[in-house]
Amino acid sequence: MASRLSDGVYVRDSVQIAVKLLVVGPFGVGKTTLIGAVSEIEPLRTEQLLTRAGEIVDDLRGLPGKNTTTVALDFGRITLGEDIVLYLFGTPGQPRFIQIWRDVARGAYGALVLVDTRSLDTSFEALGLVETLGLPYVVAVNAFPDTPGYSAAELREALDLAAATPLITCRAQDRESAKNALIELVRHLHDAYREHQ
Amino acid sequence: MTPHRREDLVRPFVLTGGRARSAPGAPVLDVAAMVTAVPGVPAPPVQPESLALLEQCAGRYLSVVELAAAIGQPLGIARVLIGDLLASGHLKAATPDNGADRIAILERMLHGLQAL
Ligand SMILES: Nc1nc2c(ncn2[C@@H]2O[C@H](COP(=O)(O)OP(=O)(O)OP(=O)(O)O)[C@@H](O)[C@H]2O)c(=O)[nH]1
Ligand SMILES: [Mg+2]
Repeated sequence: MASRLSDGVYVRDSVQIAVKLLVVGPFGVGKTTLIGAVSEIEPLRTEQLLTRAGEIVDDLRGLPGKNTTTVALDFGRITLGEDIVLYLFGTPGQPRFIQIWRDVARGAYGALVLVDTRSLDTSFEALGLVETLGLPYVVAVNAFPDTPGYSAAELREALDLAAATPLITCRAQDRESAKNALIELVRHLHDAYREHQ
Repeated sequence: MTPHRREDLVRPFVLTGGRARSAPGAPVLDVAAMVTAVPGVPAPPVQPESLALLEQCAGRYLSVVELAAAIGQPLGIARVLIGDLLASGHLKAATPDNGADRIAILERMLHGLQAL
């Protein structure tokens, strides 16, 4: 049985290219919500095992359970053409998850950094991690009803954004808005990679 | 996203014999690597989890991370099982797009997103 685009479950037979984008940001900022808004599958969840020291577990011998934690990694998928599928990974922004980030970010094209202006300090951590990984990114403020109305200039200043880094707002629950955030990201990545050619 | 203590490591340990990589020094499978079942290969695996992996990607490509979620195993464990099935020829991976032109792919992604 051939898989069909419309069944929303399997990837088309012809898909051979998988592109990764990361959706990063602090706890509860709306990463999974945004992924769910645009994904053709319900966001799926997988677990990654980490030692207390933050190393990815690659040998379970001599590791009693209490030394190990699991971190949930949420992801969604969008088929973008006959042979291209886009995977969106919602990765937790805490610095102690850096090994998971390195693993998922290997070969990734870029990141959408979701920030919550109600807690800019935690958003800062996520930005720092994306910088550490060297991924090009766009910053999107997820607008909650009680989000304070900062000006773009105030936010750029507070987040210490480079002039070339796009800053946008989005509503993670809204499919069109989430889609537009991804379009902004892909546009920015296109410019960023072209400059480095 | 709060990490919780994991006390039930015995089952994954049994599944992979304590490894979460196929062989020392072997490249770690990318989370988005696309794999598919190769039909008609003799000596199918006996582990139910490995059989489930083959079933999930029979006749289609599926990513490593989707397979992990589909069989309900942690990513590291699924990677080992998938690595073993690649080594035994029961699975094959799509040719990675190493040489692919990122700019061209981004342009196609942009058109794809705009058409959603
Ligand atoms: N009003 C409003 N609520 C939102 C929005 N985005 C997310 N939420 C809510 O905020 C909560 C957290 O959203 P999630 O998408 O789970 O956040 P997350 O970043 O994946 O969180 P973790 O995975 O726990 O780090 C949920 O209850 C969402 O329904 C939004 O744009 N507007
Ligand atoms: Mg989440």
